[in-house]
Amino acid sequence: MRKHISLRLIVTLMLLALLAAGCGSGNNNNEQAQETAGSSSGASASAEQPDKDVTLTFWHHYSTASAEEKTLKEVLIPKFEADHPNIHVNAVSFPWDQLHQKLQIGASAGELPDVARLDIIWVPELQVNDMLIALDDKFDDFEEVSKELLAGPLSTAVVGEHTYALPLNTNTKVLFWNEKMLKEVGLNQPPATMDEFFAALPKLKEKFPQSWGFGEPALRGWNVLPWLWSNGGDVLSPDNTTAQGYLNGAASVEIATKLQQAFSQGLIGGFKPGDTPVTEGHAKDVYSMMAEGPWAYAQFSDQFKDFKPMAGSFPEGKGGSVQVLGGEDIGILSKEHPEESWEFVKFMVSEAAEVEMGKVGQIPVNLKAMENPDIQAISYFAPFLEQLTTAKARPPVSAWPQIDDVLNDAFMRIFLQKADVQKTLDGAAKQIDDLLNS
Amino acid sequence: MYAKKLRRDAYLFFLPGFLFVCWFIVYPLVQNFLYSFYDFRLTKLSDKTFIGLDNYNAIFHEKLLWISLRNMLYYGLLTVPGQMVLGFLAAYALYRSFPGVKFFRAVYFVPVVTSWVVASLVFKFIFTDRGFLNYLLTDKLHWTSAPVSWLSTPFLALTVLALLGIWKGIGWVMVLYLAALQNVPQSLYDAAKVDGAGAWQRLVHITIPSVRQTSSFIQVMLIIGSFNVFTSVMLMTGGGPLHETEVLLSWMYNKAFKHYDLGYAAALAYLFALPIALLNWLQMRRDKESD
Amino acid sequence: MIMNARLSRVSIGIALLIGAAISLYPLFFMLSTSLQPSAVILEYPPRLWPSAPTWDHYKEAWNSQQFGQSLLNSVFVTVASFFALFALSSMLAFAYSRFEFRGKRLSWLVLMACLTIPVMTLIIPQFVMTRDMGLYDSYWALILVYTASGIPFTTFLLKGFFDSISREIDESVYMDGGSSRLLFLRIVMPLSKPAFVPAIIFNALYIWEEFPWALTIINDPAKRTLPVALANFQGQYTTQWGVVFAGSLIALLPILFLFLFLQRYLIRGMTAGAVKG
Repeated sequence: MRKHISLRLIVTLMLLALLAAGCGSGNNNNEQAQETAGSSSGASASAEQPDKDVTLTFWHHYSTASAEEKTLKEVLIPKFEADHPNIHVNAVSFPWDQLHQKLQIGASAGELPDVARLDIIWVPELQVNDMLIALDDKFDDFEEVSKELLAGPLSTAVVGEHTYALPLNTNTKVLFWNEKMLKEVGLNQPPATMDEFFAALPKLKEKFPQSWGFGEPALRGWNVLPWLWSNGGDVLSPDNTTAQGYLNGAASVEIATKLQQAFSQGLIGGFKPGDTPVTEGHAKDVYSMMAEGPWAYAQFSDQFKDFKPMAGSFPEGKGGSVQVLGGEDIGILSKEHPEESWEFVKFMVSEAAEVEMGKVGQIPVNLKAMENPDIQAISYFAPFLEQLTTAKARPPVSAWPQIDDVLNDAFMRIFLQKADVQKTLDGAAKQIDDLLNS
Repeated sequence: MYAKKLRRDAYLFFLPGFLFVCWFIVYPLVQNFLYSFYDFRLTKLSDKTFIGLDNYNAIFHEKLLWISLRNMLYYGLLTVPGQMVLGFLAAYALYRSFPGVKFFRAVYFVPVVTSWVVASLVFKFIFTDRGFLNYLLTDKLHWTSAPVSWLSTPFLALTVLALLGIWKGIGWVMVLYLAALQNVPQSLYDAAKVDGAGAWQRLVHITIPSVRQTSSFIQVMLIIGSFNVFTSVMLMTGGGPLHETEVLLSWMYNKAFKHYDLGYAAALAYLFALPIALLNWLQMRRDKESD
Repeated sequence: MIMNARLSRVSIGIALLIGAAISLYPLFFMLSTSLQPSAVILEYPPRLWPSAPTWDHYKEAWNSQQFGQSLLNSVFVTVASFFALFALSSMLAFAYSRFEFRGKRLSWLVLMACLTIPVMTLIIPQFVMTRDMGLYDSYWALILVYTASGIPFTTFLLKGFFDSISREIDESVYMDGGSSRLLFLRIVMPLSKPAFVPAIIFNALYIWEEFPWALTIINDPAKRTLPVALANFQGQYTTQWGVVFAGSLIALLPILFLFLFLQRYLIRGMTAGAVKG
């Protein structure tokens, strides 16, 4: 009997607790709303520093518990907050695809961060939805800040006539090769040309039947573009209006066919569900070669301390040795705190911050940072910097994520279903054109 | 006056719970039905355009419709009987008391208590090309000459998903049958023994018919459950390769959260919900009659 | 004859042990992987048990991204949702069991229909609705939806049990001048205690491991529940399996303990009402 009276009591108490919690989060919103009113009137009155405490939300996708995230949380943010006592930064980590999704629906959900770290391929689609502030337009000191940054990466933030973000870090992929395994088939150097590369694969398979000569973790643009480009092919025309004649052009078909043959002979792998993950596999002699970014070094030193990675340029084909340009930009989405957000953005691209992040594998875009002795001392950056000189960015079209899906499907079909290469790429080109014209 | 008081009481007990369900479940259900007739994007929630039956039309022209139906049918045909038979056998072995029975009952229920996320990740790990199972099959037992690509061969991947579903559900079925078996009057068995019926005959003619109602309930719940398969598909195959292992919910989720096409996703939900509801209604009718 | 009986008992025993091994193997696998140093995890041939076990993954899982906070969040949301849904379901079940009222049949059908709907199909309208209510990224959004989701099944479970309690008790209570409230709180509910156990276990399990809704509606990492926190261990370029499994095992413990604690009552609670339906 007693038990049930107290059960009722507990239920009531819980509901009251919930009410309190609910009101609590409601109150937070009210406080921020008041701050907004206060600081925006302050900003319009004068462009000086507001005197109220501002908390910025910064969304990023540095992996949880990674070295980059630790640097952000333990070195960079404290330094920024010390320099700007009235600004606090609340950094939130999301996995890459979740961050993309949250940004996409954030606008309609009414919850966007003030500042966000963006994959360079997201900039066009966010810009098209009016989510990013045009930095060159809004801030007077934009010129002097952007002058300090690498031109190539800076261009990834340009859409039309304005610049909607600043580059934060750049990267590309290089060829990692397993010294031990290659030596055993008589190769002291990694293959320098595509011909050497395709010649090496069967030799490796013969010597190591349980392994694959090359591992590619997926078949999206990020993975297939270097192959197409290095063979002189492409996905889209130079003006990015059509895929006809490019994705299904002779050069693209040629290299896709070569890769298809290699796959059917068991020489390459890594992208089917169930395959051993490529980076880990490379360290365990499962994949003799792979193309990966600087983060692989961090992973090796973290998880596979005994493995000595070797990296060199991506094999040169008819179109050269052309890898895909990656990287992240940092953009401002804030409607309420653009000034403080700009302070944070400037800080993140400053020499000091770039050097710190450089130490944990994030290749800097700040010119002074690249000259910094600490960065110069990082020997493994060398092949990346070399590769960066010829790296190409993915087409800055807002439909790129969907185009990526089309590429993925097409190449999956080519490899897993041994589909006719020309026909499949013809179909994909048509789908892409439909996307570009919609 | 007494009756009026009772009627008022009835509503007092009834309304809070029911209204709550109406608000958070029925109302969204109706909303979803309406969405299915619109072009409704997650990125622009305020912008809805009425397009009538276009979404439904598009679905019928999608190859994916038949693929996911085929997959769900296969999954259901493996998991429902699989869980029922194995769950029943486990219960039959464990419904009488003997030393250690509590241990077994608990152990068999552990997979039920393991979350889908965790179970999917572990199974994924075990079934990778160079995972534990292939190691056993290829290197130790030599039953296969090369590692089997469990997760990238659609038929095999679906089988693995079904195995996961069965593994996870046996305990639940077992518990339900345990309760039912313990309620079968001993007198029935005694009478049968007197008549000279052997163990097998007792099983078939007494035990199984006696738990008929439980079986029917379990069957309905398992069928509903098999239509709800989602987490394991997303985590183990992602619906791939090439959408060959897609099921309704993974398809719907991708449409809603990757392509942001909420109208289409809503239409999908209703298209599948109707046959499920029909199936269950027929099942419940059949039970009522056989009572 | 005796030989046969013993043989069959032995073979049943062996079958049971194999079944137990299969039931437990995945957990064992998780445990062993979580204790292996990263370099060894993807080794081939796979090792059954680490030769140099390490607690590093557990430390890392616990210390990263407020895992402890996520644990608390999960506990809070599960407990709060459970109490709410239990209160509402028990009252609802009582109404169906004991009263006649207009709309009883229809509403029951509606309630049972809710059971057959894949819950995931409701995420989008629920997302739009909670956002319109200003509850995006709040505990409320989780609790309200989880509560509603649990009511149909729990009502069904409890009604079955209530039905098995004789109406004569009702009559005597009313004749003595008692109210429905008295009947409910002091008589019917206490008599139904065995049914509470499956109600607790099935609801707690569902809420504890619910993922799609938690993922969609919660942004603030301080409000994340465990399943979302676990999913976040999958990095942009790689997944640290050791940490994922260590975290998963930590997340598994509370619900496992709850189950072990309650399991002896589970079978009793599934008897009668629950199954006759």
